[in-house]
Amino acid sequence: MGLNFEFIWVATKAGIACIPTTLLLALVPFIIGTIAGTVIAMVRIFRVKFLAQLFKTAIDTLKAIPLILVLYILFFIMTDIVKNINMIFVAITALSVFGTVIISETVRGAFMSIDSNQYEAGYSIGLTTIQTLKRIIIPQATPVAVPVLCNNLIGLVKASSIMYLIAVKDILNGSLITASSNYRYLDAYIAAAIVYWILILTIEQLSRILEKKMGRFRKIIA
Amino acid sequence: MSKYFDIKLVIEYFPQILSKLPVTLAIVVFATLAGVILGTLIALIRINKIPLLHQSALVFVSFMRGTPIIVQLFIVFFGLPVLLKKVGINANNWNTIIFVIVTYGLNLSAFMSEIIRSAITGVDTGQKEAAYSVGMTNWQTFQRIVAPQALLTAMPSFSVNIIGLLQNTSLGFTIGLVDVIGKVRAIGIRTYHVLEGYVAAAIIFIVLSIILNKIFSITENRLQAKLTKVNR
Repeated sequence: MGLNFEFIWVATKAGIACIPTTLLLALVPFIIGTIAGTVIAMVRIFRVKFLAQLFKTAIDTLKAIPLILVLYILFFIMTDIVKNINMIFVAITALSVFGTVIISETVRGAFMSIDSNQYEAGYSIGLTTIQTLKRIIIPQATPVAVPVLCNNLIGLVKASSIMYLIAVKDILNGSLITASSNYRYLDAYIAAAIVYWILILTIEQLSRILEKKMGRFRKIIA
Repeated sequence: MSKYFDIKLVIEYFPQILSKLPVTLAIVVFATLAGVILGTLIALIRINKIPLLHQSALVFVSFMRGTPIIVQLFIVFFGLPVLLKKVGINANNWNTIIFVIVTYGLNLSAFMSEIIRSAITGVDTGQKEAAYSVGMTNWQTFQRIVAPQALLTAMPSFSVNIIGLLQNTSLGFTIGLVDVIGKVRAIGIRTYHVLEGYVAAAIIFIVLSIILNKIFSITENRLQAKLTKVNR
Protein backbone atom coordinates (compact mmCIF):
# COMPACT_ATOMS: atom_id res chain seq x y z
CA MET A 1 0.00 0.00 0.00
CA GLY A 2 1.75 3.11 -1.20
CA LEU A 3 0.86 6.69 -0.47
CA ASN A 4 -2.13 8.25 -2.15
CA PHE A 5 -1.31 11.93 -2.57
CA GLU A 6 -4.78 12.84 -3.67
CA PHE A 7 -6.16 11.46 -0.42
CA ILE A 8 -3.42 13.11 1.64
CA TRP A 9 -4.58 16.43 0.20
CA VAL A 10 -8.20 15.65 1.15
CA ALA A 11 -7.12 14.77 4.70
CA THR A 12 -4.90 17.85 4.90
CA LYS A 13 -7.83 20.07 4.00
CA ALA A 14 -9.94 18.36 6.66
CA GLY A 15 -7.14 18.96 9.15
CA ILE A 16 -6.81 22.62 8.19
CA ALA A 17 -10.54 23.09 8.75
CA CYS A 18 -10.01 21.97 12.35
CA ILE A 19 -7.16 24.40 13.12
CA PRO A 20 -9.53 26.71 15.08
CA THR A 21 -10.31 23.90 17.54
CA THR A 22 -6.63 23.14 18.08
CA LEU A 23 -5.91 26.85 18.58
CA LEU A 24 -8.77 27.06 21.08
CA LEU A 25 -7.35 24.03 22.91
CA ALA A 26 -3.93 25.67 23.02
CA LEU A 27 -4.75 29.35 23.59
CA VAL A 28 -7.36 29.11 26.36
CA PRO A 29 -5.10 26.91 28.53
CA PHE A 30 -2.20 29.21 27.61
CA ILE A 31 -4.06 32.25 28.97
CA ILE A 32 -5.31 30.41 32.06
CA GLY A 33 -1.83 28.96 32.54
CA THR A 34 -0.18 32.37 32.25
CA ILE A 35 -2.44 33.91 34.89
CA ALA A 36 -2.36 30.98 37.31
CA GLY A 37 1.30 30.29 36.58
CA THR A 38 2.29 33.88 37.34
CA VAL A 39 0.38 33.84 40.64
CA ILE A 40 2.05 30.55 41.63
CA ALA A 41 5.48 31.82 40.58
CA MET A 42 4.98 35.02 42.63
CA VAL A 43 3.93 33.07 45.69
CA ARG A 44 7.02 30.90 45.36
CA ILE A 45 9.43 33.76 44.67
CA PHE A 46 8.24 35.81 47.64
CA ARG A 47 8.13 32.65 49.78
CA VAL A 48 4.60 33.22 51.06
CA LYS A 49 4.20 31.12 54.19
CA PHE A 50 2.58 27.71 53.72
CA LEU A 51 1.30 28.48 50.19
CA ALA A 52 4.81 28.49 48.70
CA GLN A 53 5.52 25.01 50.02
CA LEU A 54 2.08 23.79 48.96
CA PHE A 55 2.50 25.07 45.40
CA LYS A 56 6.01 23.66 45.13
CA THR A 57 4.76 20.20 46.09
CA ALA A 58 1.74 20.47 43.80
CA ILE A 59 3.81 21.61 40.80
CA ASP A 60 6.50 18.99 41.33
CA THR A 61 3.87 16.25 41.64
CA LEU A 62 1.81 17.33 38.65
CA LYS A 63 4.95 17.76 36.56
CA ALA A 64 5.72 14.08 37.10
CA ILE A 65 2.32 12.79 35.94
CA PRO A 66 1.97 12.27 32.18
CA LEU A 67 -0.73 14.46 30.60
CA ILE A 68 -2.64 11.41 29.42
CA LEU A 69 -3.15 10.29 33.04
CA VAL A 70 -4.21 13.78 34.10
CA LEU A 71 -6.66 13.73 31.20
CA TYR A 72 -8.18 10.34 32.00
CA ILE A 73 -8.46 11.02 35.73
CA LEU A 74 -10.14 14.38 35.04
CA PHE A 75 -12.35 12.69 32.46
CA PHE A 76 -13.75 10.29 35.06
CA ILE A 77 -14.23 12.98 37.70
CA MET A 78 -15.81 15.53 35.34
CA THR A 79 -18.15 13.12 33.56
CA ASP A 80 -19.25 11.89 36.97
CA ILE A 81 -20.11 15.39 38.19
CA VAL A 82 -21.72 16.68 35.00
CA LYS A 83 -23.58 14.23 32.79
CA ASN A 84 -23.11 14.71 29.04
CA ILE A 85 -20.36 17.24 29.51
CA ASN A 86 -18.87 18.57 26.28
CA MET A 87 -15.51 16.87 25.88
CA ILE A 88 -13.88 20.14 24.92
CA PHE A 89 -14.24 21.31 28.53
CA VAL A 90 -12.47 18.21 29.79
CA ALA A 91 -9.74 18.79 27.22
CA ILE A 92 -9.33 22.45 28.16
CA THR A 93 -9.24 21.63 31.89
CA ALA A 94 -6.53 18.98 31.41
CA LEU A 95 -4.47 21.25 29.17
CA SER A 96 -4.91 24.15 31.63
CA VAL A 97 -3.40 22.02 34.38
CA PHE A 98 -0.53 21.12 32.05
CA GLY A 99 -0.15 24.76 30.94
CA THR A 100 -0.15 26.13 34.49
CA VAL A 101 2.59 23.71 35.51
CA ILE A 102 4.93 24.54 32.63
CA ILE A 103 4.22 28.27 32.56
CA SER A 104 4.68 28.73 36.31
CA GLU A 105 8.17 27.27 35.87
CA THR A 106 8.85 29.62 32.94
CA VAL A 107 7.74 32.70 34.87
CA ARG A 108 9.67 31.64 37.95
CA GLY A 109 12.77 31.05 35.86
CA ALA A 110 12.48 34.48 34.25
CA PHE A 111 12.16 36.22 37.61
CA MET A 112 15.00 34.20 39.13
CA SER A 113 17.24 35.26 36.23
CA ILE A 114 17.09 38.86 37.51
CA ASP A 115 19.84 39.57 40.00
CA SER A 116 18.67 40.18 43.57
CA ASN A 117 20.72 43.40 43.53
CA GLN A 118 18.04 44.81 41.25
CA TYR A 119 15.41 44.41 43.97
CA GLU A 120 17.74 45.90 46.56
CA ALA A 121 18.52 48.85 44.31
CA GLY A 122 14.79 49.47 43.91
CA TYR A 123 14.17 49.29 47.66
CA SER A 124 17.18 51.47 48.47
CA ILE A 125 15.78 54.41 46.53
CA GLY A 126 12.49 54.04 48.38
CA LEU A 127 10.36 52.10 45.86
CA THR A 128 7.70 49.77 47.26
CA THR A 129 7.70 46.09 46.30
CA ILE A 130 4.98 46.67 43.69
CA GLN A 131 6.83 49.64 42.22
CA THR A 132 10.10 47.69 42.09
CA LEU A 133 8.37 44.84 40.30
CA LYS A 134 6.55 47.08 37.86
CA ARG A 135 9.37 49.43 36.97
CA ILE A 136 12.52 47.37 37.39
CA ILE A 137 11.95 43.64 37.52
CA ILE A 138 9.10 42.98 35.06
CA PRO A 139 10.62 45.00 32.19
CA GLN A 140 13.79 42.91 32.51
CA ALA A 141 12.09 39.57 33.08
CA THR A 142 9.70 39.89 30.13
CA PRO A 143 12.28 39.56 27.32
CA VAL A 144 13.68 36.49 29.11
CA ALA A 145 10.23 34.91 29.45
CA VAL A 146 8.82 35.58 25.98
CA PRO A 147 10.82 33.02 23.94
CA VAL A 148 10.18 30.34 26.55
CA LEU A 149 6.48 31.23 26.68
CA CYS A 150 6.32 30.77 22.91
CA ASN A 151 7.89 27.34 23.39
CA ASN A 152 5.26 26.60 26.01
CA LEU A 153 2.52 27.56 23.54
CA ILE A 154 4.04 25.21 20.96
CA GLY A 155 4.14 22.53 23.66
CA LEU A 156 0.42 23.10 24.27
CA VAL A 157 -0.39 22.82 20.55
CA LYS A 158 1.47 19.52 20.39
CA ALA A 159 -0.03 18.26 23.64
CA SER A 160 -3.54 19.11 22.43
CA SER A 161 -3.20 16.36 19.81
CA ILE A 162 -3.87 13.66 22.40
CA MET A 163 -7.37 15.08 22.87
CA TYR A 164 -8.46 12.99 19.90
CA LEU A 165 -8.51 10.14 22.43
CA ILE A 166 -11.58 11.68 24.08
CA ALA A 167 -13.12 12.45 20.68
CA VAL A 168 -12.43 16.17 20.46
CA LYS A 169 -12.40 17.10 16.78
CA ASP A 170 -9.03 18.82 16.54
CA ILE A 171 -6.51 18.72 13.66
CA LEU A 172 -5.58 15.10 14.27
CA ASN A 173 -9.15 13.89 14.62
CA GLY A 174 -10.27 15.98 11.64
CA SER A 175 -7.69 14.29 9.41
CA LEU A 176 -8.39 10.83 10.82
CA ILE A 177 -12.14 11.00 10.26
CA THR A 178 -11.55 11.18 6.50
CA ALA A 179 -9.74 7.83 6.69
CA SER A 180 -12.54 6.01 8.49
CA SER A 181 -14.13 4.91 5.22
CA ASN A 182 -11.04 3.76 3.31
CA TYR A 183 -8.63 2.85 6.15
CA ARG A 184 -5.80 4.94 4.68
CA TYR A 185 -4.62 5.86 8.17
CA LEU A 186 -0.96 6.36 7.25
CA ASP A 187 -2.00 9.01 4.73
CA ALA A 188 -4.25 10.67 7.28
CA TYR A 189 -1.50 10.79 9.91
CA ILE A 190 0.93 12.25 7.37
CA ALA A 191 -1.68 14.89 6.52
CA ALA A 192 -2.12 15.74 10.20
CA ALA A 193 1.66 15.97 10.60
CA ILE A 194 1.86 18.45 7.70
CA VAL A 195 -0.84 20.66 9.22
CA TYR A 196 0.78 20.61 12.68
CA TRP A 197 4.19 21.28 11.18
CA ILE A 198 3.00 24.34 9.27
CA LEU A 199 1.05 25.64 12.27
CA ILE A 200 4.02 25.28 14.61
CA LEU A 201 6.48 26.80 12.12
CA THR A 202 4.11 29.78 11.88
CA ILE A 203 4.02 30.19 15.66
CA GLU A 204 7.83 29.91 15.72
CA GLN A 205 8.10 32.64 13.09
CA LEU A 206 5.75 34.92 15.04
CA SER A 207 7.78 34.25 18.14
CA ARG A 208 10.95 35.30 16.35
CA ILE A 209 9.35 38.59 15.28
CA LEU A 210 8.17 39.19 18.84
CA GLU A 211 11.63 38.40 20.18
CA LYS A 212 13.18 40.91 17.80
CA LYS A 213 10.79 43.58 19.05
CA MET A 214 11.63 42.60 22.62
CA GLY A 215 15.33 42.79 21.76
CA ARG A 216 14.86 46.39 20.77
CA PHE A 217 13.07 46.98 24.06
CA ARG A 218 15.94 45.34 25.89
CA LYS A 219 18.50 47.62 24.28
CA ILE A 220 16.66 50.66 25.59
CA ILE A 221 16.93 49.28 29.11
CA ALA A 222 20.64 48.60 28.73
CA MET B 1 -18.09 9.02 43.22
CA SER B 2 -17.56 6.34 45.86
CA LYS B 3 -18.89 3.56 43.68
CA TYR B 4 -16.37 4.46 40.99
CA PHE B 5 -13.39 4.94 43.21
CA ASP B 6 -12.26 2.37 45.72
CA ILE B 7 -8.91 3.08 47.35
CA LYS B 8 -8.50 -0.63 48.16
CA LEU B 9 -8.42 -1.40 44.45
CA VAL B 10 -5.51 1.00 43.95
CA ILE B 11 -3.50 -1.18 46.31
CA GLU B 12 -4.84 -4.37 44.79
CA TYR B 13 -3.97 -3.40 41.22
CA PHE B 14 -0.64 -1.86 42.10
CA PRO B 15 1.50 -5.06 41.84
CA GLN B 16 -0.08 -6.03 38.49
CA ILE B 17 0.56 -2.58 37.05
CA LEU B 18 4.06 -2.46 38.51
CA SER B 19 4.87 -5.74 36.74
CA LYS B 20 4.77 -3.83 33.43
CA LEU B 21 7.30 -1.26 34.60
CA PRO B 22 10.21 -3.03 32.81
CA VAL B 23 8.48 -2.30 29.49
CA THR B 24 8.43 1.43 30.25
CA LEU B 25 12.02 1.37 31.48
CA ALA B 26 13.21 -0.59 28.42
CA ILE B 27 11.73 2.08 26.15
CA VAL B 28 13.46 4.84 28.11
CA VAL B 29 16.85 3.08 28.08
CA PHE B 30 16.89 2.00 24.43
CA ALA B 31 15.36 5.21 23.10
CA THR B 32 17.91 7.23 25.08
CA LEU B 33 20.79 5.17 23.65
CA ALA B 34 19.45 5.53 20.10
CA GLY B 35 18.70 9.22 20.64
CA VAL B 36 22.16 10.05 21.96
CA ILE B 37 24.01 8.14 19.21
CA LEU B 38 21.88 9.48 16.36
CA GLY B 39 21.72 12.94 17.96
CA THR B 40 25.51 13.13 18.15
CA LEU B 41 25.73 12.12 14.50
CA ILE B 42 23.24 14.82 13.48
CA ALA B 43 25.03 17.41 15.61
CA LEU B 44 28.36 16.56 13.94
CA ILE B 45 26.75 16.79 10.51
CA ARG B 46 25.36 20.20 11.34
CA ILE B 47 28.53 21.56 12.97
CA ASN B 48 30.72 20.45 10.03
CA LYS B 49 28.02 21.54 7.54
CA ILE B 50 28.35 18.41 5.39
CA PRO B 51 26.48 19.27 2.16
CA LEU B 52 23.14 17.54 1.50
CA LEU B 53 23.22 15.73 4.86
CA HIS B 54 23.20 19.12 6.56
CA GLN B 55 19.99 20.18 4.81
CA SER B 56 18.33 16.82 5.41
CA ALA B 57 19.23 17.04 9.10
CA LEU B 58 17.65 20.52 9.26
CA VAL B 59 14.36 19.26 7.82
CA PHE B 60 14.39 16.15 10.02
CA VAL B 61 14.97 18.12 13.22
CA SER B 62 12.33 20.69 12.26
CA PHE B 63 9.78 17.93 11.56
CA MET B 64 10.49 16.09 14.79
CA ARG B 65 10.20 19.30 16.80
CA GLY B 66 7.22 20.63 14.88
CA THR B 67 4.81 17.69 15.08
CA PRO B 68 3.17 15.95 18.04
CA ILE B 69 4.88 12.75 19.14
CA ILE B 70 1.64 10.78 18.92
CA VAL B 71 1.43 11.60 15.19
CA GLN B 72 5.05 10.49 14.74
CA LEU B 73 4.28 7.30 16.64
CA PHE B 74 1.47 6.37 14.25
CA ILE B 75 3.46 7.34 11.16
CA VAL B 76 6.23 4.98 12.27
CA PHE B 77 3.72 2.30 13.28
CA PHE B 78 1.93 2.34 9.91
CA GLY B 79 4.79 3.57 7.74
CA LEU B 80 7.77 1.50 8.85
CA PRO B 81 6.29 -1.85 7.72
CA VAL B 82 5.44 -0.32 4.32
CA LEU B 83 8.97 1.03 4.02
CA LEU B 84 10.60 -2.23 5.13
CA LYS B 85 8.46 -4.27 2.76
CA LYS B 86 10.13 -2.44 -0.12
CA VAL B 87 13.50 -3.85 0.97
CA GLY B 88 11.97 -7.28 1.57
CA ILE B 89 11.59 -7.28 5.34
CA ASN B 90 8.25 -8.28 6.81
CA ALA B 91 7.61 -6.14 9.87
CA ASN B 92 3.91 -6.84 10.23
CA ASN B 93 4.32 -9.16 13.17
CA TRP B 94 6.93 -7.17 15.02
CA ASN B 95 6.35 -6.42 18.67
CA THR B 96 4.83 -2.95 19.14
CA ILE B 97 7.62 -2.03 21.55
CA ILE B 98 10.01 -1.86 18.57
CA PHE B 99 7.89 0.82 16.90
CA VAL B 100 7.71 2.76 20.15
CA ILE B 101 11.49 2.61 20.63
CA VAL B 102 12.13 3.63 16.99
CA THR B 103 9.77 6.61 17.27
CA TYR B 104 11.09 7.85 20.60
CA GLY B 105 14.67 7.24 19.55
CA LEU B 106 14.16 9.33 16.41
CA ASN B 107 12.25 12.01 18.28
CA LEU B 108 14.83 12.24 21.05
CA SER B 109 17.69 12.36 18.53
CA ALA B 110 16.30 15.60 17.09
CA PHE B 111 16.20 17.24 20.51
CA MET B 112 19.56 15.73 21.51
CA SER B 113 21.23 16.99 18.34
CA GLU B 114 20.21 20.56 19.23
CA ILE B 115 21.47 20.19 22.79
CA ILE B 116 24.78 18.65 21.72
CA ARG B 117 25.27 21.17 18.94
CA SER B 118 24.70 24.20 21.14
CA ALA B 119 26.85 22.71 23.89
CA ILE B 120 29.78 22.09 21.55
CA THR B 121 29.55 25.41 19.72
CA GLY B 122 29.06 27.11 23.09
CA VAL B 123 32.59 26.25 24.20
CA ASP B 124 34.74 29.36 23.86
CA THR B 125 36.94 29.30 20.73
CA GLY B 126 39.81 30.56 22.87
CA GLN B 127 39.79 27.16 24.58
CA LYS B 128 40.30 25.39 21.27
CA GLU B 129 43.02 27.80 20.20
CA ALA B 130 44.81 27.26 23.49
CA ALA B 131 44.72 23.51 22.90
CA TYR B 132 46.02 23.84 19.36
CA SER B 133 48.77 26.18 20.55
CA VAL B 134 50.17 23.51 22.86
CA GLY B 135 50.25 21.11 19.92
CA MET B 136 47.10 19.04 20.46
CA THR B 137 45.50 17.41 17.44
CA ASN B 138 41.86 17.99 16.50
CA TRP B 139 40.72 14.83 18.24
CA GLN B 140 42.76 15.48 21.37
CA THR B 141 41.31 18.99 21.58
CA PHE B 142 37.79 17.68 21.26
CA GLN B 143 38.27 14.83 23.68
CA ARG B 144 40.23 16.63 26.38
CA ILE B 145 39.09 20.24 26.18
CA VAL B 146 35.79 20.66 24.34
CA ALA B 147 33.84 17.52 25.24
CA PRO B 148 34.13 17.77 29.06
CA GLN B 149 32.97 21.38 29.05
CA ALA B 150 30.19 20.68 26.57
CA LEU B 151 29.00 17.74 28.65
CA LEU B 152 28.55 19.99 31.65
CA THR B 153 26.45 22.55 29.76
CA ALA B 154 24.40 19.80 28.12
CA MET B 155 23.53 17.93 31.31
CA PRO B 156 20.53 19.98 32.53
CA SER B 157 18.71 19.94 29.17
CA PHE B 158 19.62 16.28 28.77
CA SER B 159 17.88 15.46 32.07
CA VAL B 160 14.80 17.46 31.13
CA ASN B 161 14.50 15.56 27.85
CA ILE B 162 14.90 12.13 29.41
CA ILE B 163 12.19 12.91 31.95
CA GLY B 164 10.04 14.15 29.06
CA LEU B 165 10.72 10.85 27.31
CA LEU B 166 9.59 8.93 30.39
CA GLN B 167 6.28 10.79 30.30
CA ASN B 168 5.89 10.32 26.56
CA THR B 169 6.17 6.55 26.93
CA SER B 170 2.66 6.80 28.38
CA LEU B 171 1.34 7.21 24.83
CA GLY B 172 2.55 3.76 23.75
CA PHE B 173 -0.79 2.18 24.63
CA THR B 174 -2.39 3.95 21.66
CA ILE B 175 -0.68 1.50 19.30
CA GLY B 176 -1.44 -1.44 21.57
CA LEU B 177 1.67 -1.56 23.73
CA VAL B 178 1.04 -3.19 27.10
CA ASP B 179 3.11 -0.98 29.37
CA VAL B 180 2.05 0.53 32.70
CA ILE B 181 -0.89 2.38 31.12
CA GLY B 182 -1.73 -0.45 28.72
CA LYS B 183 -2.03 -2.74 31.74
CA VAL B 184 -4.37 -0.30 33.48
CA ARG B 185 -6.64 -0.37 30.45
CA ALA B 186 -6.52 -4.15 30.27
CA ILE B 187 -7.58 -4.35 33.91
CA GLY B 188 -10.26 -1.73 33.21
CA ILE B 189 -11.79 -3.81 30.45
CA ARG B 190 -11.98 -6.83 32.74
CA THR B 191 -13.26 -5.14 35.90
CA TYR B 192 -14.80 -1.80 34.83
CA HIS B 193 -12.51 -0.15 37.37
CA VAL B 194 -10.06 2.00 35.49
CA LEU B 195 -9.77 5.16 37.60
CA GLU B 196 -8.02 3.26 40.41
CA GLY B 197 -5.54 1.92 37.89
CA TYR B 198 -4.80 5.40 36.56
CA VAL B 199 -4.17 6.66 40.08
CA ALA B 200 -1.78 3.73 40.68
CA ALA B 201 -0.02 4.50 37.39
CA ALA B 202 0.27 8.18 38.37
CA ILE B 203 1.95 7.14 41.63
CA ILE B 204 4.41 4.98 39.68
CA PHE B 205 5.28 7.88 37.38
CA ILE B 206 5.72 10.29 40.29
CA VAL B 207 8.13 7.91 42.04
CA LEU B 208 10.03 7.25 38.80
CA SER B 209 10.41 10.99 38.18
CA ILE B 210 11.74 11.54 41.69
CA ILE B 211 14.30 8.73 41.24
CA LEU B 212 15.40 9.97 37.81
CA ASN B 213 15.71 13.55 39.08
CA LYS B 214 17.85 12.35 41.97
CA ILE B 215 20.12 10.35 39.64
CA PHE B 216 20.58 13.31 37.32
CA SER B 217 21.32 15.81 40.08
CA ILE B 218 23.91 13.46 41.61
CA THR B 219 25.55 12.92 38.20
CA GLU B 220 25.58 16.64 37.55
CA ASN B 221 27.20 17.41 40.89
CA ARG B 222 29.84 14.71 40.43
CA LEU B 223 30.61 15.95 36.94
CA GLN B 224 30.93 19.50 38.17
CA ALA B 225 33.19 18.46 41.05
CA LYS B 226 35.40 16.41 38.75
CA LEU B 227 35.76 19.17 36.17
CA THR B 228 36.50 21.97 38.59
CA LYS B 229 39.17 19.78 40.16
CA VAL B 230 40.81 19.31 36.76
CA ASN B 231 40.70 23.04 36.08
CA ARG B 232 42.59 23.84 39.24
